[in-house]
Amino acid sequence: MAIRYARSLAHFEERCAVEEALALVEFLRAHPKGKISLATCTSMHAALLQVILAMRPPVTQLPADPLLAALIGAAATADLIPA
Amino acid sequence: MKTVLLERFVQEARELLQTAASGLLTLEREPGDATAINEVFRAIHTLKGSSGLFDTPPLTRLVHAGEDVLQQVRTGAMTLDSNVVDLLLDGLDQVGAFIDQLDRDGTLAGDADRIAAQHAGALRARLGGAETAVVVIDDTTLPVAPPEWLAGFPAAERDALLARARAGEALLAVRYTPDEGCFYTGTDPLAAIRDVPDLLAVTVAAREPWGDPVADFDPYRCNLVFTALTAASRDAVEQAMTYELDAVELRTLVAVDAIAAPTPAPDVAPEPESSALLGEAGRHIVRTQLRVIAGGYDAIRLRSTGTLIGNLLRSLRQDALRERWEIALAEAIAAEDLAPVAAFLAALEEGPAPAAEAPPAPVVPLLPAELPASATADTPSAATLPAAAPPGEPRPASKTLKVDQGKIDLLMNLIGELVVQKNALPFLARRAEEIHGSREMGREIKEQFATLDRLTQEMQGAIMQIRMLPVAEVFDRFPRLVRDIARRLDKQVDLVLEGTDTAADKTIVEALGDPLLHIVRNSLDHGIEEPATRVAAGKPPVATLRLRAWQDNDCVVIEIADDGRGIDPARIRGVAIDKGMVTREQADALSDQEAINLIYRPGFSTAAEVSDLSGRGVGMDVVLSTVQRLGGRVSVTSQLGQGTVTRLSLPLSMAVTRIMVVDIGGSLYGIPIDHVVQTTRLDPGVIKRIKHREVFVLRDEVVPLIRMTALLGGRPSAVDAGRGEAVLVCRVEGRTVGLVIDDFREGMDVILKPMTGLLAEVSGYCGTTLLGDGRVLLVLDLKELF
Repeated sequence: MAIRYARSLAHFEERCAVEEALALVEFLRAHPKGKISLATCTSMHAALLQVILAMRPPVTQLPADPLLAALIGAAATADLIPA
Repeated sequence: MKTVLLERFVQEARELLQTAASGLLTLEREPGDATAINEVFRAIHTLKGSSGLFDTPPLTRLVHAGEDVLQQVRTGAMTLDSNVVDLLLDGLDQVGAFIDQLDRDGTLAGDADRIAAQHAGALRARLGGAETAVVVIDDTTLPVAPPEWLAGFPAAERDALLARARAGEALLAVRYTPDEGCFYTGTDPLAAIRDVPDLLAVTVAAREPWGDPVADFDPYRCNLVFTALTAASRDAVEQAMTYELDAVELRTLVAVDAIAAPTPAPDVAPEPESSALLGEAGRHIVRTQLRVIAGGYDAIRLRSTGTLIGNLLRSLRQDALRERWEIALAEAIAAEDLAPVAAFLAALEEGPAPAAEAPPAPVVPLLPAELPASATADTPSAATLPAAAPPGEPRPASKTLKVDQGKIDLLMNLIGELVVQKNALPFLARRAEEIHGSREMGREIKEQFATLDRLTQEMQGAIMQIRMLPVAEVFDRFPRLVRDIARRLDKQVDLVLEGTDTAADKTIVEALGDPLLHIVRNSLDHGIEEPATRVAAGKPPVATLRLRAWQDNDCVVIEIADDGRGIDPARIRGVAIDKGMVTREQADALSDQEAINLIYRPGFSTAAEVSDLSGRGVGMDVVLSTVQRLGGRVSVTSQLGQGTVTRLSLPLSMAVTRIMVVDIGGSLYGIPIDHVVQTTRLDPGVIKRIKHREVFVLRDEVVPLIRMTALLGGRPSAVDAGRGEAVLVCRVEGRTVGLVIDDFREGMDVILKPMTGLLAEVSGYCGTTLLGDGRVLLVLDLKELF
């Protein structure tokens, strides 16, 4: 699947591939307050992980995948993630 | 231990290497040739993929380095010059050596790791902006991970793991620094790090500070460093990260001597709950692969599926299942049919979750490892499994068979016996007529014989066809060889291959290699001039060397033609006299063509000095003797300044020899039919005498007569005055002779049995064969007789 953009929220849906990285960067540049939701994300390419690590957008929901959750959870600002 | 799969891999790898090498040569000539680069890339890529099926990380690593270089060439980031081609060819040679080792021992030699790292390093050094450290793996124990490696882990988790390590558990730290451009090569570092078995914890960090994310952040430049802690063995990690090994560093978590510390570690690792997850992960992979193979049979894709499932089962420590998987995979590859693989995967998915016996739980349980992006990108998104045949449905049979050559040879021998047995029938028919006086019976036997004769001939032809190989088998090695030699000699040579699909018997084609090699080397070394000389002589600077093959009746003809300086008969005469091979008088009497033929005398060499290529004087007589042993002929024509043409003419098949049976002094003898020019009957009046030799004139040529009874013994039969002397006109080594015999008999196809044992010393005969009535027929070797 892909990343679905809804106003200032980017929904990562299922498997997100490397081609999406540029669009995500554009989105986060255009919406400095943009957030991302990983609730339905099953896996993402390392390029997308890199965008999240570099631009540090608020993450509203962590993915179910423990490895992804651990990597993003450790990097994202803790107070933005709902417990 | 050699498996069927490995045997197939060895065979296939050799073909792929050949394809890659010849493609590289094309590329060197025309660097812009997109077809060639894709072909080479595909060959190397396939090789890399297949090698992943076996426990040969050095091989895979080396091929991977080559693939990276080719990828750069393919995208235009790098141009291919001769030096790079040399490097790549060296690499391919090394891979060839690895393949030989695999073929011989079933495993790579101990120093393979080091050699592969050297070659891979040399190749990687060519990559633009390559700063990837080449990890040379030594066999000493790993150093301890520096503290900054562990800084990224949450303190509690880190301490817990350190405690486990101190308690004696072998934990490894894996530092994975993917190449900056890796996103472009289809690598997903995240998926790669997931592949590390028995992961305990993973952190990711930026290699360099991120900088201003708004202004100058390039999402496609990989700036990540992963650090993973794992309970897996070093081998397992290296195996899993095979393709990324150059970017991976391994450390132990705790020095070996520190393990002794008796502090009982509190077991803080959260317990299972994840075994179900792993099972889910495994099933996900299996489902993905089922979808992938649903796209139809694709050897390359099947291989990546094979590796993936193999690794999955390996990581689950399901060795028994893995063996069954490899068998299914081998079946599928052999039959080019996905049914066994599909059935296995379906069973795997349905069956009890393999995770039931999964290893101890990791802290970070793994979800499905994604396929490498390169493999999935072009996967058709078919959600169902239309192509995978349901188990139980009959598979379509494969179109080709691979058969041991011994079995074909056995068949060949049996046919030979059948031919001999068949030849007994005419004798039987004659006996029926003469002894039992039944003409009727004799005629029926002859009719039966005619049918049997036709059938055996067809059968023989069919079996010959099986043994036929295209001459491409030997020609294919020449582009590489010619290039290497030409480069060493600073000559420019364009090699043209024609008629490569001309087929001849396997024995012939395989034996052709050495003679051709000598001739081609000679052409390059002596025949073709340096570019400057060529230009001065008004020729194009690039010489043309042409290898042609075609079929001429029951012969296959191979022609090696160059447009070099040609052979100078005067010089040949001079050298032959100097070496004492002929006297001056003899030399002067030779025609130019005969003088040129002197190069086939043993020990002949005109080269002023011996080079490492040719000039040792062992070349051309080897050519002649090899070709003659195969029953062929060699001829050289040359025009001074225009070039030289060497022509090898060989029989298509050597299994069956056609002979002519003749009656000499009351005994029967066979004479190979390729010597026979014609049969004739001479009136005693036309036989002249020159001194003590009898001669006769045939088509304005004086032909000496040889009375075979004088040579072989026996009493000559009385000449039938009405019919004249029976004379068989033969050509032996370029000379025409007339053999006076008692009578001609029939022509016959025979399987020649060489003279063995005590008889091997007897000269003048090339073998024996059985006649239909059980008598032994001696076949004369005319070359030895005269």
